[in-house]
Amino acid sequence: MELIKTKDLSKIYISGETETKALREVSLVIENGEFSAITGPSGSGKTTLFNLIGALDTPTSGTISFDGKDLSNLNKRARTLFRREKIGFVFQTFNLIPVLTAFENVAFPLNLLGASEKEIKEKVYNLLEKVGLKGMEERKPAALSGGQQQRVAVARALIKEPILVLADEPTANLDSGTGGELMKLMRKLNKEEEITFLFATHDPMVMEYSRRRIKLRDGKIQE
Amino acid sequence: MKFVFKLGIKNLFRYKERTFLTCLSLAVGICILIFFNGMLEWADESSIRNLKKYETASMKIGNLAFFEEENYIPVDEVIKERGKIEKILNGKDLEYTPEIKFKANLINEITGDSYPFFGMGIKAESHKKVYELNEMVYEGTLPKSSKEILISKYTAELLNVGIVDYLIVETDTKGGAHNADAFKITALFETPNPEVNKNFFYISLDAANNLLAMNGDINLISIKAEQNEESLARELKKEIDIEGITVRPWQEQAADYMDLSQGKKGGSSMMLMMAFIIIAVGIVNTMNMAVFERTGEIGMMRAMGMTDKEIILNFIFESGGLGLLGGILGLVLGAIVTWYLIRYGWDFSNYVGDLSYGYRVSAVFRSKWDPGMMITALIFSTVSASIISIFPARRALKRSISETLKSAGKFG
Repeated sequence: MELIKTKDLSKIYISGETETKALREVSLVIENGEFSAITGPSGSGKTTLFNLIGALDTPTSGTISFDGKDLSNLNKRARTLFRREKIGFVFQTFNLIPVLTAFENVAFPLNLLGASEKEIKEKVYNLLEKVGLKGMEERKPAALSGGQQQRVAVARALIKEPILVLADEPTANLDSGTGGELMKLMRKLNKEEEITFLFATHDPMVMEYSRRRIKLRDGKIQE
Repeated sequence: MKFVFKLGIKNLFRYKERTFLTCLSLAVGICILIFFNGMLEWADESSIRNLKKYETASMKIGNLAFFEEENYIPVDEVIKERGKIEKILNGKDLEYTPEIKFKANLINEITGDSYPFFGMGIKAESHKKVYELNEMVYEGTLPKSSKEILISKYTAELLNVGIVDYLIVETDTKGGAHNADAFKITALFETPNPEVNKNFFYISLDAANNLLAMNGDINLISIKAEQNEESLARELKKEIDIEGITVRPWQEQAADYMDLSQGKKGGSSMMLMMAFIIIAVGIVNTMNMAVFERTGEIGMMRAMGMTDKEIILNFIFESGGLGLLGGILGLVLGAIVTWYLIRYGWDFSNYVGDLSYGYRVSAVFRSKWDPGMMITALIFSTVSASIISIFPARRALKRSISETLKSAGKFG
């Protein structure tokens, strides 16, 4: 079943008199439950495509639909609420909030959704246990290793049970052992929870774990 | 909302040193505000008290022409139908005292030094009921006999005289003739009202009557009133109803002070404005840094679905917390300063001497508790800090999410 469908998706950045074509008429379908990687060298358009899929940005032309709903014409507030409910993000440098504990960081999306304290406690403790961070709930990011921080970030992306997780270079700041464990964890969650994972990466290990690779070069797909 | 509030408060303690320094700068602003306000309030309250106790009484009855040329002191402008006026005052059970105010030179008979003063002929018994000069007299009493003079400690030092010395009082009589007589200094006074200390001397009403050849006339009646002076003055004037006779409440007599007091209201607004600038500079700087440092974090929060309103609220809570903490610290500092000034005062006499600059207070500055201003300062600090934080937060939100994430090197 189609989750994401783009048609002739283009994005042009204009800076002064310079036009940069970051994406050129990209047409793509991502099915529900995929565990896929978008690969390509720096400047190939991976992040631009991620931004459009994640409703962080709007296309210059073309269409993008999510679960049958057209994202191209959503206003700012609708895009915010769409991200809040449907998308989980994993960032390259974890992007945890330093003043919050692991528990509070993971609870962040549920707080945005207005979940009850009881529900938050139940879900966060369960998920932290699942990602192997039981007993570390009260630690702040500074007291966690890089791998542990990225696990918190993954738990934060998954806690609201999103339809899609967008992970941008999730292993870039981790050693290969920790990166491998993280990929196994996400793969397991993909199977168990049937959550769609989409990675932007040029890490061969991430590509190995991915069931499908979408190559981008100069803003065009070379699948 | 509760979550956004908690996050704002947690961010408040993110950089403890910076938070402390910002709070300290706010506290200094608030403390200065409380310090100046307390001192001005004290000066205001003390001035009114010292005006009524030593200079103007609650009000004075006199000839309109006399009041209008009070600096020139036309002693021939006397009170007509004094008996009728006193009957009305007695009927209202008001304390009052007759006076002769005149211009005179005080001359040290040995050195020949001479200075201009205002002389007051007073009736000791009734004067005590209207004024409190008698309580400020030391080494003697109010002048009772015809050859006694009461001068201030300031005047004694100026003329280089002391108790039992003689001073020549030189003046013009009601009829315009030149007259002078010698008076023995029987007492010295020092009031908290520098205008009185610097400008007035006192002799008995009888002595003034003789010296000025007043033929039993007086030119002023001072009244003490507990009720609203302005409305009582209007009421009395209406009842007295003698052509040329008027009743002046202390507010009209002390026009110089009233101008200053009105100016103080503008000064208070200026102080609030200055405090606002101190708060604004401190907060804007801190919040700009906070927003700049957290560009990537703001991008992440927006990416995860936090609305612009929630992000602005987060900064408002953080900044408002700074304002509140700074305000509380400022209140504590302000309270310490106020307490010290009330208890010990701040002696400016070495710098300003007996200059009164309109206020009727001594050169030892004190303060006054003003809970209203303290609460206002706290609310002001919190609210203005909250409002100021909106601007850097809004500026950060104008950037696209992808740009903020990218500039922070966190996504892509």
